[in-house]
Amino acid sequence: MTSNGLDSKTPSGPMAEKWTRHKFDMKLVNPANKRKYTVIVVGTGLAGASASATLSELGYKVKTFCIQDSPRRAHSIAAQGGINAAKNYQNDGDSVYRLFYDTIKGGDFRSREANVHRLAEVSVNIIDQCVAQGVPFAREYGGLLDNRSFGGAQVSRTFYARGQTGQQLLLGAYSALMKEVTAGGVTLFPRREMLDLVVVDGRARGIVVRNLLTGKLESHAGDAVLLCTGGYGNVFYLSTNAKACNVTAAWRTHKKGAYFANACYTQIHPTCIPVHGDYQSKLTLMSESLRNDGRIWVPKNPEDKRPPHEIPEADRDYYLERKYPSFGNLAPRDISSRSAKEQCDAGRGVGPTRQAVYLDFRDAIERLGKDVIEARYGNLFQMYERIVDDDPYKVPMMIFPASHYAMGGLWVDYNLMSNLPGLHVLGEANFSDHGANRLGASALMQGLADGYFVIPYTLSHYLGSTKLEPVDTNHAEFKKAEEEARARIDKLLSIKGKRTVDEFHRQLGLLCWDKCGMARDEKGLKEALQEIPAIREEFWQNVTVTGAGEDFNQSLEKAGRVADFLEFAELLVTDALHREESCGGHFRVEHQTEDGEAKRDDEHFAYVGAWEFKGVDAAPELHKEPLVFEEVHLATRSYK
Amino acid sequence: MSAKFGTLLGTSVVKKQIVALTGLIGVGFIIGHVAGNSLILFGPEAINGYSDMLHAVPELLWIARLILVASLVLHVYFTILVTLENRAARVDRYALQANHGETNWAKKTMIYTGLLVFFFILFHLTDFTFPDKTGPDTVLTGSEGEASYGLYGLVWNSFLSVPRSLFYILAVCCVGLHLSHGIQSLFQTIGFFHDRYTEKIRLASNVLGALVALGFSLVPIFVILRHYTFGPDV
Amino acid sequence: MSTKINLTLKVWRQKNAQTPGHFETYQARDIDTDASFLEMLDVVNASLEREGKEPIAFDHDCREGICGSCGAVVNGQAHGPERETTLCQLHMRKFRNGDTVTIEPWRAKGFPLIKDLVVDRSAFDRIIAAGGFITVRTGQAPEAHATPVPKDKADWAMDAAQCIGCGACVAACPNASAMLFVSAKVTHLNVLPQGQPEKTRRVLNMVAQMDKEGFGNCSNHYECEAACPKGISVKNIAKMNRDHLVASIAG
Repeated sequence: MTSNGLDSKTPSGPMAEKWTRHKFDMKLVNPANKRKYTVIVVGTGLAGASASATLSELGYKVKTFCIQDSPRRAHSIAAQGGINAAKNYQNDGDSVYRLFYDTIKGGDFRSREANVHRLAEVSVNIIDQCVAQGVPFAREYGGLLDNRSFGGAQVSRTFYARGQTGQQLLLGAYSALMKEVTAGGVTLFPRREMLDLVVVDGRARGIVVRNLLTGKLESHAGDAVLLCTGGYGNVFYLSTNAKACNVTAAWRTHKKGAYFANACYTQIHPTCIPVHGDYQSKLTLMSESLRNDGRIWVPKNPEDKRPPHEIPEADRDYYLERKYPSFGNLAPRDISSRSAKEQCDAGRGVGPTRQAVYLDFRDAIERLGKDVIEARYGNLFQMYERIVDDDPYKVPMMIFPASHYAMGGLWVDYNLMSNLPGLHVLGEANFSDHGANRLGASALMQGLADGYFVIPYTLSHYLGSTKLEPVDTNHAEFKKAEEEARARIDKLLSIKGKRTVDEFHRQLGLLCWDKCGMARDEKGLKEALQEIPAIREEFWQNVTVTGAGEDFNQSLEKAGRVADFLEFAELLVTDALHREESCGGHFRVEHQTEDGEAKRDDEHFAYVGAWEFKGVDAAPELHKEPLVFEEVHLATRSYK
Repeated sequence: MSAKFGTLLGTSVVKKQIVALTGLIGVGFIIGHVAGNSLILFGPEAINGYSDMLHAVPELLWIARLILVASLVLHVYFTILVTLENRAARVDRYALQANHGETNWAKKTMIYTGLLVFFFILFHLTDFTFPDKTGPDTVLTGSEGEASYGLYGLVWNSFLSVPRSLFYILAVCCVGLHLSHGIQSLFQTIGFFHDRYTEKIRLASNVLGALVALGFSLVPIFVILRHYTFGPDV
Repeated sequence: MSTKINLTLKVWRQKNAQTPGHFETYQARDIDTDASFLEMLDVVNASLEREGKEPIAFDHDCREGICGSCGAVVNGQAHGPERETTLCQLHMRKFRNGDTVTIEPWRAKGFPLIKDLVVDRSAFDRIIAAGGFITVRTGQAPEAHATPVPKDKADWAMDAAQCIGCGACVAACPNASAMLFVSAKVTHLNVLPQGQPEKTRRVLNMVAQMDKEGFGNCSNHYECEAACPKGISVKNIAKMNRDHLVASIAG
């Protein structure tokens, strides 16, 4: 059953004026009244830290929670490449409109135009804000900011801080957050994991968290809840996400009524260090910038066992250059990833597992000299050598795609509010801005846009236009949520089975990767829908979780997260199965052009698919938000 | 103002900087001392003349002495304080501890060489500074006649004892070792670091430490060599 | 190429801060030399869990050397034997078959122990909260190009800002001093034009908070620099000393 009842609350008026007008139309909260409101922020990545700091500056009482020992460790920190902004400092024709257009097109026409335009508008403010905070962006000798170019754009609009842009932006937001801790507006709760959302009278009014140090459950009440908990890439077990990244907060919120949108839009990043053993716990990303100088190839003959440097030109297949002569090795992420998979599926993969392709710098070193390559990529080469123990100056790198980012997430309207009133979702945790494929250097932009420049306005609007009854943690809903969380923990500890949590996670991840990874087909997806509940059932009978509930217990933490992935995976597959088209990161084998390119179906699928939870073993209900394109004309992406 | 001053005195960085600056005064004194001592090689007139010059204006001498004593007391007091705090900061020791920074013997033994030097200074003062410079101790041992050789005689007699000379040499080696780390360290502590000069300061610090040890050792060596080769005559 | 090795681990196990800890010996068998140190611990932990025993607790997250969560003293060295490498990026090919590996938590008064190899580094957050920021509210920022920053200053700031707050400097320092961590942040902000207005307050407040947390003093052994996975230079300590001296006299 489907309905078309989802209202995105997109303001009317010309695209370029929507946000400005909306800011005027929204309700404000009187400065003296702001301190009467408590806002709960879960997560301290770019979105959570920036939102916490900004809301506290405005005068709200903010309670900020993070799973790590310090808010500075959120996974935004690992982003390497950069952050986009329409500053046009390079005088190369960039503009807010072009950033808007590139993002819509890069997302394969599956994002909400008004959100993306707002993102492009505030991008310029983000750079100003970060520079003022002391973020040490790369500069030229004149003392002004430097830019680099990134995939999917023909202008240089990416600001960067060496290969650690995410780290520097996060430390900027973290410093703003800590400033507010000192100022007294933010109370920090590190080492807390959100286990449930508390809904009172249909509104999000609080959360239940587990104190990871003591194992005790704690309830926190507030007037609004901001979920800034990142993406679900770890459903594949092996991903470039940090080990603690999980879907738990989002999933339990979904179970409380929040719709989950576009789960099947997962980004698989093309340049990661391949899997090399079954003990492996994570995959490491190598910055996309490597594709500027590296050439990707495989041997033409699958039986070719010669070491790479002995394989002559004639026996190499530079398949990206062959298939996409104009973009070549710089084809967008989804296309590059899928092509690598194709080659490996055809038996031409290299390395011990045959699940890798070469990324070769031989020609670039010949052309530019080793020094130039070292200056550009030295730290990445060093990282590669440390992990793989091969010298990429001599031996071509081996790379393979890996799960990296989730475009899908909890459904939100233009105000970043979920269908559950009071629940706001920011950053990677929401679905809103990247459509079916995210462009490089846009995740950092979105996280900070949401936190610094969007939520301060839209949250005031919610609080200013809503009558909220006082609620405290003695309310029955809090007690109920706590009891449910406790029962779940007790259950996990009582199973005392034979298999470790990681074994289940690995099994689930492999299944999702095989059947719902870079390429999906109906048969595989249907098989996955059979297998996931079976794994879940075994999990609840045969998992081993040691230790006690009221103690520091990392086994238990993992078990709770994997239990949720085991439920979420079904939604991921269901969404992929229902979307009978190929777009961006979602590639259905049945829907491709003759030469193997993604084939969108705008007539039937130009909508956001938002799912409503109906029970663990029941099929979710689909709600559609039609995507209306006022500015950009739907077109087929071509990178040939 | 005084509250703020008091607070600052309790700050780790300030404590270290007091140690550094008082150390710097000590370094200046020691360099002058080595230079003055070397006059002994030129005979009694040279060294005694130098000594008389220092005593010419007693007010100045006492001001200098006060500064030196104050520096010494502050240096020792804050070093001990800081060392105790440092021990307290590492409650539990590691079962295994490998160093791979720039820890070396001179650095690790700073507190011990420092304490040794402190007690040596007390001994040294009673040895040469406090005694009467005209009394019987200033008559050259083994020489004929009762002529006082002033400070020269005092030093000469004192170093004629080989164990005593060896003790002095050992003590001034401690001084040298202490300075070899102390000088470079004090630059870092007062905040001087330069990509090019810091390396040179480190080298100079080690050389200076060695020179100080050598310079001070020259005196007893000179006395003994001269006495046992040429006899007691000057 | 990768091979398999066997190791004897001596691991510090401690239930909590109130209970005394001890070393426990484990055999790590068939460890792939391509595995990371933490993946080796995963393997050991999986076998413990299968036996119904509690796994070794250790902090970790990104496993690519940037979040600063992981860290232990391995054979007497913070983050183990490889320079400028976090524990998660240390690979088992650095060890030989039959080696005994001693694994201990960071030990410092400023980092109270939580469990096994996990310590409480919240002191670092409090030090940052004391002044490791530039006071600028969202929306107040001037245009980014309003103030040019000389490239050498920007580069120095970036060098210092790379600190991941892992605490290896404290762990390696014979005095458990936090000077490298604190000075990295002081320098990052104090060399930039944007950080000038709060330069004096920042260095005084951050150093005062550092002292309050019970870290030791710097005695210029430079073990911190050698242990730092990001190669943060002790020249930042000199810079902080200088700023503090000026602040104490003039501030």
